Amino acid sequence: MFLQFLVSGIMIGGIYGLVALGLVLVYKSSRVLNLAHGSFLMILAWLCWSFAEQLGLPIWLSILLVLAISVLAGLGVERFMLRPLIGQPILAVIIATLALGYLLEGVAIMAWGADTKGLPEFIPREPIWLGPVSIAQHYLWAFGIAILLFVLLLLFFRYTKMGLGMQIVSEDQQVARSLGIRVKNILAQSWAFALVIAAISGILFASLNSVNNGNALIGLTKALPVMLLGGLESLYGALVGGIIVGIFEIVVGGYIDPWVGGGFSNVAPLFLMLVILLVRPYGIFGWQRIERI
Amino acid sequence: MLVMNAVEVRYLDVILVLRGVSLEVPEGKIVALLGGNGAGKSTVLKAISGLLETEEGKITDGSIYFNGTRIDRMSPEDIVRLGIVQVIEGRRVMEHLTTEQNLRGGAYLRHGDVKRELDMVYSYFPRLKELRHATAGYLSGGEQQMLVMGRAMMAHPKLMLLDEPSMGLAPLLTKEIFNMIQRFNSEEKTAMLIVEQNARAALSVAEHGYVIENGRVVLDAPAAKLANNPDVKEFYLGLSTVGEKRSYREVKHYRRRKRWLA
Repeated sequence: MFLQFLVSGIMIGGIYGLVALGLVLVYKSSRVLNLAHGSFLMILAWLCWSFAEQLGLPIWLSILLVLAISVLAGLGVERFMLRPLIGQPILAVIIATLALGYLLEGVAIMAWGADTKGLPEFIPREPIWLGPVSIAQHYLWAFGIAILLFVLLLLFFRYTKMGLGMQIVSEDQQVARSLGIRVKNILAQSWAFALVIAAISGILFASLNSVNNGNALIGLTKALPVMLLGGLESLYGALVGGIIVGIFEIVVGGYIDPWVGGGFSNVAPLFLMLVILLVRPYGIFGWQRIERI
Repeated sequence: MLVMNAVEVRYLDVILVLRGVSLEVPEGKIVALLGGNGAGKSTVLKAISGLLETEEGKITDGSIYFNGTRIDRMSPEDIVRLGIVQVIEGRRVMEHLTTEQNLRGGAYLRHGDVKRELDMVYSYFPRLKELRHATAGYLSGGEQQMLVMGRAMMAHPKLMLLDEPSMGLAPLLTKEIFNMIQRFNSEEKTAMLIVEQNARAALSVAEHGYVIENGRVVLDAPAAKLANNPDVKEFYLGLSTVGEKRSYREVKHYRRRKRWLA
C-alpha cells in the first residue's frame, strides 16, 4: 500500500514540478510571480481539445499548434503587459498577472462553458506491474516527458548563450544592460519558454484527468507550494519540490483521507507550504542572499 | 576618440547634476576624473555608457561623440556594441554564478568561442583562474574587483569606463589593480576613463586629469601637472604646502577655500 502511494506520488509529482518550472522561469528572470500561470495552462489545454475534437485535427498537429500559440502568447505578455509596467513596483505587475488570470478564466467560460471534456487518448493507458505495485502507463509517460524537459532546460542554461543571458538578467538587470544584453528580449524569451511549459504541462495534466476550468487551480494550489519548497529560483528545486509535494499529497492524503471523509489530499500541499514558509522560507535550493562578512 | 561637449544631466527631470561638463578621452590613453563625493563623477560615466536611463537620469543638453558617432541618445545596449564598456561602481558580480560564467557574460556580444579571451583575462589575473569554478558571491573584495574588470576586458572594449576600482580595497591590492590597469592599457591599447577618490593612484597611471566639483569641470591638466597643483595636493592628495612654516593663522583656517567655488 505504502509503495503504491509512493510511486503514484512520484509520478504526479513530476507533473507538479513541470508546472512549477514555468513559474520559476518567470520569477527567475523578472521577479514576477505569475498568478496567471494556472489559467494559461488551463486555456492552452482547452485550445488543444478544440483543435483535436472540434476541428478534427490530428492530436500531434493540435499539440504543435498550441505550442506555437503559447510562444506568441509569451511574447505578447511581455510586449503588452510587462513593457508598459517597466518602472512600476513589482507588485503592480503581479496584480496585473492576477487580472490576466481572471480574464483568461472568463474567456474559457465564454468559449467552452463549464464542461469537462477529455482529450483524445494519445498515450497508452494499460498499467504496468512492478511486483505488487502498478503504475498507470500514462502517468509514467507524463513523468518521463517532464524529466526530459528538465534535463533539456538544465543543459540549455548551462551551455547556451541565451541561457547565460537569462541567468545574468535574473541576477542584475543593470549589469546585464552594461554588458549589452537586451533585457526586454530576454524577458520575452523567458515568458515564451514558461508558456510553452504551461502548454505541455497543461496538456499532460489534462490527458491524465480531463480538460476543465478547474485545472487552472493547480497553478496556485500545487505549483506554488512546489516552487516555495524547491526554492524560488531553482530549476532542480522545482523537480525535487514537485516530487516531494506529490508524495506528500498521495501518501499523507491517502492515509488521512479515510479518517476525515476525504479531501485532505487536496489541501495537503498547502499545509506543506505553510510549514515551509515558517521553517525555511527560501526553500531547499533557493537563493539565500550571499552576505560576506 | 570620446568627446563630451557641455553635457547637462538631470535626474527625475529636476535634479541638475552635471552643469555643462566637457571632456575628452584620446585614443588609447588613460584619463582620470577626480572630485569629491557627489561631484557628479559617476554620473559622467553613466552619461557616456547610457546607463543613466536605468536611474531616471537624462542628458538634457550638450552632446557626446564617440569616433564621430553621436551617442548621447543611444541605449546602453547599443553603446556597448560600439566598444564602450562601463565597470559599474561597487563590484557588481553575478553572485550566484561562477567566476567563469561571470567572465563569459562579459563576452556576451562576441560570437563563437571565447577561450582566447578567457586565457587573456587569466593571464592578467591568475587568481581568477584558480577560482574559476567558485561562486562569485563568495570571492573576496579584491577578487571581485578583478572579476568585474576581467569581465569588462572580455569584450575587448575600445574605451573602458572604470568607476572607483580601488573602493574599499587594501593599499597593496589597490596597487595591484592599478598595475593591471596600466598593463592592460599598454598591451591592448584600450582607452580608459577612471573615476577615483584615490587621486594619487589615478594620477600615477593617467596621462590627463580632470577635477570636477558640483557638476562642473574646474581643473583640467596633464596628470603630472595636476599632481603638482597646490589645490589638488591639498584637497585630493592630502598634502599641505611643503616647506611653509605653520602659523596659528593657518591652523585657524586650516582648510583653504576651494578658490574655484568663490
